Amino acid sequence: MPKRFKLPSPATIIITIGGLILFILGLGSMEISADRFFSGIVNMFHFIIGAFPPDLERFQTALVAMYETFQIALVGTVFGVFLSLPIALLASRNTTPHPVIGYVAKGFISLLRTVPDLIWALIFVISVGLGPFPGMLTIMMDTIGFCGRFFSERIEEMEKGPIEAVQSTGSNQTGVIFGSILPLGVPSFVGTSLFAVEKAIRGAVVLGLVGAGGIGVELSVAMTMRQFDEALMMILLILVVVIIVEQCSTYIRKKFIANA
Amino acid sequence: MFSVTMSEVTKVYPNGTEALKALDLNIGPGEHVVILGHNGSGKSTLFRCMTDFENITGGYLEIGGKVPASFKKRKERSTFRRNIGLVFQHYHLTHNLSVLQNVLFGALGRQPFRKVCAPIASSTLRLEAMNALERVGMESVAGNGADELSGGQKQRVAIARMIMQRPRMIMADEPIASLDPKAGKEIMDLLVSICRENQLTFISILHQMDIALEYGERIIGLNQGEVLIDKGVPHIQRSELQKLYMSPKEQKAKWNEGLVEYGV
Repeated sequence: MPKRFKLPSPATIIITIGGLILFILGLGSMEISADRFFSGIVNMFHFIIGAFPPDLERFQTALVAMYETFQIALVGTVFGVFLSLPIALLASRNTTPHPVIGYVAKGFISLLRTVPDLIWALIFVISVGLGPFPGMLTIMMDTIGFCGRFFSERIEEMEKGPIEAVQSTGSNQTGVIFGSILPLGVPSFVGTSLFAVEKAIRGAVVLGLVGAGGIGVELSVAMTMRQFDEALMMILLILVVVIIVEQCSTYIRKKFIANA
Repeated sequence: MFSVTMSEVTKVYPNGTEALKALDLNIGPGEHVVILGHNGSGKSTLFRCMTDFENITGGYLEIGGKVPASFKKRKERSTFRRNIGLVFQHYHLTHNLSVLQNVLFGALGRQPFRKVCAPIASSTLRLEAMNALERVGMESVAGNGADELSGGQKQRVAIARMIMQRPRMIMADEPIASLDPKAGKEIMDLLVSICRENQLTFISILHQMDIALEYGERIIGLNQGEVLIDKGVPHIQRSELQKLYMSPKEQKAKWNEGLVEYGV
């Protein structure tokens, strides 16, 4: 009969204890106190009282800024998607010209993914100055990291048959890529790109906080000036735009993939 | 017309599976050969080796005067592939594109991609593709999507793509295994008549004995990577073919039965 309790392996014990210690140390650093919690609720109440009703006075300015955010997201994503395709082709096992190039391209994509977008934004604001341009570049980098990976995964998992059929005609590699790999991947590429737009809209809002253009700047100013009613108006505006973009993207995706 | 020469061809997969064991085969120009065998008999491996999608691991294989194992440049390989028209069980059309576009892809071996792109392809090439579609009776659906067709129709379009390739030899890997009997016969009729018209060597891998006897001139039976039968159709016995589809155990049982009959 097996024992009722089995002692876990030494490694498991060490990892568990180590994790627990880190958590307890972290908890200590959080300066959690009932006092601050209570005053926090009171402050939150101040915010809510101050925010209602939302102030529509600067609605037009906010709308223009939101439109700029949308533009940053859209243009950045489009550039990102178009750059992702060749990078994904270089990175995928079955299309890379050489395994070494494949590793380099894969490494490049993961580098773009690992660096958080706010850091990209800070770097671009320093290098190209304030405004929507660094925002667009940031979204582009983010999109290459996102789409590059998913495009390349789609290319790698493609069924071999149709690709071999085009190869069997004696086609060169360009013919194989344009004649089978890209057309076969289109529905998935479109789906991924639409997700990238949704992600980019949310990302672009935050980018404004570090000076990379769009509504983020306005929101940040309103908050620091304690104009909560104006801030709420912007938050609601962001919410509406994000929801609209998501709905449109879902609609297109359904329609496109149903026809594929 | 292409001929095939194989001597002691072996194929061992990296996992140790011996798929082809020292095959000796000669297929003459213009012959219509059917390869039969149960699953795992090595016929698909043979197909993939003959079409240069797998390398052989031993022996000598020559098709149309070319030796795939000796190819060094991409160009040599693509010229070789262009000369052999392939027909697949699952048609392998490019989804999401039109029928005409799929047929135009057949010319990729002699034209760059931009010249076979349906909207900008030359009228001559488009006309050639339409003629290929007409040959297989599919000209009326040229503008439709490749996904809208039935299995038999897809196979016809795939054959049109192969005609577009202007091959010197046709190899078909279970071309009718996914089709109903009527559509299957139509496809076989079509393939055989295309080969007769253009005097092409025709090698097909099949599953159905009746179809093999009806359409083949010579039948090669494979079993566990070896040639078990190699005869012209007039000299072949149905019972010989049935043996191909028996497991070793069943074969032994049949043998014992024979002993009993002879009263041993």
